[in-house]
Amino acid sequence: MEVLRLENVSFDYRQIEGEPLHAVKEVSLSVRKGEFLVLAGANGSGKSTLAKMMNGLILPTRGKVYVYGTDTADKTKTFDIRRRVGMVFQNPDNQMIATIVEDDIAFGPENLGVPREEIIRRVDWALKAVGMEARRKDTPFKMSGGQKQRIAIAGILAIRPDILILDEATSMLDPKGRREVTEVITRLNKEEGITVIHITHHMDEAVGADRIAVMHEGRIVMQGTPAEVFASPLLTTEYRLALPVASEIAAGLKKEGFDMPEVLTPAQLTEAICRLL
Amino acid sequence: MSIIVENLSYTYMPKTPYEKKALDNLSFQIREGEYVGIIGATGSGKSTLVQHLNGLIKLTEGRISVFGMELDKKSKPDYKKLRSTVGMVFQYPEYQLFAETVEKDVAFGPKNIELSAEETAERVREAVGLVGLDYDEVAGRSPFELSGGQKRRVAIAGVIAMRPKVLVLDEPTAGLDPAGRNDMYRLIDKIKAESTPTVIMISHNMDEISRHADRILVLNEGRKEFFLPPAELFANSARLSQIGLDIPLPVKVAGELRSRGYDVSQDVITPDDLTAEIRRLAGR
Repeated sequence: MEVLRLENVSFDYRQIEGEPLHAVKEVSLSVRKGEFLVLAGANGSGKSTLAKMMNGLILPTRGKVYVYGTDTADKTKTFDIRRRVGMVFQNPDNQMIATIVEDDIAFGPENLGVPREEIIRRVDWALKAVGMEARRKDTPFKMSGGQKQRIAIAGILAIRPDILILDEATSMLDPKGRREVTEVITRLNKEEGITVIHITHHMDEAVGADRIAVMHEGRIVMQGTPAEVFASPLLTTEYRLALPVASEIAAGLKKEGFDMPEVLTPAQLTEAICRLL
Repeated sequence: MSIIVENLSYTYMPKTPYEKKALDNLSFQIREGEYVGIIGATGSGKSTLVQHLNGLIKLTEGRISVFGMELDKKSKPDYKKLRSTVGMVFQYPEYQLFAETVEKDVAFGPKNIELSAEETAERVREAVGLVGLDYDEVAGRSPFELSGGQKRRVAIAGVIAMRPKVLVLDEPTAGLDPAGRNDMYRLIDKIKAESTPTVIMISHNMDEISRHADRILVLNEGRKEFFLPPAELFANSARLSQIGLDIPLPVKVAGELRSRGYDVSQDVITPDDLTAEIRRLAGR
C-alpha cells in the first residue's frame, strides 16, 4: 500500500537578488507502508527541502504531495497530516521543550487532547520503544546527543505517527549516538511496522534499508537496494557520497582482481576475505 | 616541548549538588610540529581540556605551559598573547561569523591585537587564500551568502589570520558530507604545512583521526587512558571498546583474521593497509 506519493514536485527558494534557487527539481517518489527508505545525498543536494514537503511544513512550488491520499496543500487537513507524519530534526538541543523527559514526551499527545490515561500508556510505550524507560524522571539537558535524539523520537512516537521522518537526525551525533538512533529506528520499522524515511549522508546507516534514493542537485538520480546503489561508480564521484567502509574495502579488492561477492557488513567482509586466503 | 600539561584537574560547580569532576590529574606533552588527535566519549573532558589551553577556562589545579607561557593557579597570563598563540576553532564555527563582509570578519582578530592596517590586510588576504577561497571573489561579499562549507572556511581563516603557533579544532568535520570531510582534512594538512605546524584536533571518528594524527590522546572520564601513535593504540582494542570507543573497521577485520589463524600485520589501520596485507597473504 502506498502511504506517501510525490508527483513531479519542485521547490524554489526565493532569493533577495537574482534568480530563485531551485532546491528540488521535478521529483516523483512513492513510499510503501512499512518501508525503510534512506534518502541520501551530499550537503545541498535538496534532501532536507524534500523532507519538509513530506508533512506539509513547506508546500511544493510545483507538483503535488499526497499523504495517505490527502493533498498536503489542503489546509483543512494539515493537523491530520502532521499527526500521521512525524519528523525528527538535526539538532537534538532544539527539540526539547520540557525539563523532565516524561513531560517532554507527553507534550504532543497533550496538545492533541488525548485522555490522561492514554497519555500515560503512550509515554510508557514510547520510552520503552527507544530504550529510555529508566530515564523518565531525568532532565534531558545533561544527556548525550544520542540519548536526546531518542527522547525526541519518543516524543514523536507518542503522537502515534504512521510515518517517521528523520531529517539528518544523526548528523550531529558521535558514532555511538548514531548507532543508538539507527538501532531504534530499525526496531521501530521491523517490530512496530512504522514507515521510516531516514535522511543521511552516512551510508553505513543505509546498509539495512529496503531502498536507497540518492539525491543530487535537487533530483533523485538513483534508486535501488543498498547493494545495487553501492555498486554504482557514480556514488562516490559525481554524487559526493562514500561507501560503507566494508563495501569500500571489498570494492578495492575487486579492483585488484580478487573475486568478491557483495559486501555490506564487517562480518561479510571477513568471510569473503577468508574465502580468498 | 610546545605544550606541557601537568596534573591538570578541573571540577564543574564545586561544592554544589551538581559537582562534576571533568578532568582528573591529566599530564602529557605535545611536541612542536605534532598532529595530535583527542578522542573520547561524550562527557570525557575533551572540550574542558582544550578550553584550558587558551584560558577560556581558568586553571584551578595543576600547571600548563603553552609555548613558554606559564599558566597556573596564581599566574595572570597575558590573555591576548595566549589567544593569539592558541588558535581555537570551535564546533560549527560558521555560527560565529558576524561581520558584513568576509574581509571584515577575517580582519576582526588582527585588528583587535592592534596590527597596522597594512599588516591586517596582508594577513587577511593570506588567510583567505590559504583556506582555499578566492580573495578577490569573496572579500567583499557577506559571509552569509556563502555555502556551509565556504562559511566554515571563512571562520577558520579568521583564526589563521592571527598566525597562531598551535591550531586547536573541535570536530571540524561535524555535519559535513563525505567529500566535505575529505576536503577539510586536506585543508588542515595544508595549514599545518604552510602556516601552523602544531595541530590538535578533537574528533569522534576513530577511522578518520587515525589516518591523520601522529598520536592520539584517549580520554575516559577526565583521565588519560592512552596517548599513543595509532598503530600502538589499536593493540589495546579490547580496552577501547570497553570505554565505548570505536575501533576502525580495518583494524577489527585484521584482528578477526588473526584470531582465525591468518598472519595479518599489527600495523593495519586504513583500508589500503588491509588491502595490501591481503594481497601479500594471497601471494600477489
